[in-house]
Amino acid sequence: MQADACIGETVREGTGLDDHESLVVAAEGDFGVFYQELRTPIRRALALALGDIALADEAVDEAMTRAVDRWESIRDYDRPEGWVYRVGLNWARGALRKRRYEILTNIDPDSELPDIPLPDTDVIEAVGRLSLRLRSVVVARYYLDWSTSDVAVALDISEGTVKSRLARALSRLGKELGEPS
Amino acid sequence: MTKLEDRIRTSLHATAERIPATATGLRNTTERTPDRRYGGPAIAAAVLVTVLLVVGGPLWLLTDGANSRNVTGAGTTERFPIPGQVPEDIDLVYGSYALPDPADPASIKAVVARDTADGFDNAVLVTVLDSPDTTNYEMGDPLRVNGHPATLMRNDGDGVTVWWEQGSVVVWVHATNGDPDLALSVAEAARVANTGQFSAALTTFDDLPDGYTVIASPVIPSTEPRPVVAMEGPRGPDTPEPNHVTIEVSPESLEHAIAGVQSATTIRLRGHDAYRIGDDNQTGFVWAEAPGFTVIISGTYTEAEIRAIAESLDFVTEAEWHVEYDVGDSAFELPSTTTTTLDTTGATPAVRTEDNQ
Repeated sequence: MQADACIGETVREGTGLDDHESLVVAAEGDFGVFYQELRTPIRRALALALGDIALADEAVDEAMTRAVDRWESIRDYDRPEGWVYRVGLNWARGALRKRRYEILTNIDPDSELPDIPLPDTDVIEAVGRLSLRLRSVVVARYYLDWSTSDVAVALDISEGTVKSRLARALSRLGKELGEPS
Repeated sequence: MTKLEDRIRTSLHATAERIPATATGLRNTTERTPDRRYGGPAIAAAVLVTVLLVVGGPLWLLTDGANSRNVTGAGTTERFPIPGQVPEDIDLVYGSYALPDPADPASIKAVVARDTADGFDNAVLVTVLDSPDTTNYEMGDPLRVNGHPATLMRNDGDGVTVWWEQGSVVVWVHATNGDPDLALSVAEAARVANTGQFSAALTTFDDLPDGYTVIASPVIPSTEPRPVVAMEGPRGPDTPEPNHVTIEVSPESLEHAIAGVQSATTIRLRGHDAYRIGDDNQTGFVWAEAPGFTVIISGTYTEAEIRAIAESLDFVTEAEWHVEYDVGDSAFELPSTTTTTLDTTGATPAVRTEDNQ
């Protein structure tokens, strides 16, 4: 796609970043639209799944950069963002040796936002105690609001596996939170 | 949508909205990988070797070097452990396999121990090795066992062993409590009948010391690898031996799995009969999820913490386990050494051996 030709070009001059630092580039064309609309929710989903905002930042940018290179094929997917979510998760998984789930220490859970309730920290802590395998499905289903079939496609697993993982996650969360699953 | 699902959804959205924004922009990340990845394999291998030696030390003695070759079950069965809880100070979690050393001879084992009110103690391990090379065995005190010239070896802080050649096999009797009289008593009670077939020696016992019984019968160890999940806390100048936990799934019977330790007490865990094992440095539990599906967990945390990890274990298929620990789908090869650590970065070939770290 012609409009995307500039995507991936690095803007090194004036950034003050060296070759080892991340370089900011412009995103244009229909990838640009995709990027502007989907980067934030995917980044947040990765942060919720990984429990590490800094790692989620790296993961979403890594995945988006890879998406640029493959945009010609990815753009025709029903959910290109599913591909980005999976690539981000897989990329981060290798880095996620430190398994502490720190999302609640990375945010101010008591900050007041209009029309948005305070997070239930018991729920988030319980989600954080799930394995990444279960948590990535829970986040895709309940934060990204994807259907189980969408989650299956995004994570490249069967829909049955998605349902099985969701059931297992809900069972565990229900037990921890004292609610029937 | 259930109330629970609604609660999860609301909380995830409320949390997500509070995640601070960062400057958006694509990054040129070509050929870039997380910094933390590169130290992983070497650290993992070092830790695994350490952990298997430290944690598996007693179990190693149980099978006399052949213990690593045990059946984990087919890859389609859910026998691969994933801990749902990880202690706060753990920095590294990885999956790997304990693999057999093809050079080791097959062995047949039996375990004798003294019954106690809530378990057993003073375990004595009997191992029969086919056609072993005894030239490298350490020297010890000469004695005779049932007419056979034998040797008593005192292992510093690690029990005593009586061994002798009998036909084409060598019999080892190892007393974990270091009592040479106990080792000799059990050795003299052992009746080893070598059938002349590979791994076919039979071991029975006559006149065991009072209070002692055979708690595990002979088995032929499997040549299959078994999965291990290991966790490691941070290393530092003040913590050269970091906190750690290992979880291993074995096809051995519960009694075989625990008999490498000197003593154990019985408890209930995950709805199963289990043994609590441990010493001054670490605590562990061993239980059978099902016949031929024995789990051994051990670590440097408190009993309550190790128990919590054990209770949180999830068992998945080998394929799912590989995904969880990013070990890829590559088939592994038997290594030249006993312990093999799968590369957990997924960026390089899946198998690393001690030799090539």
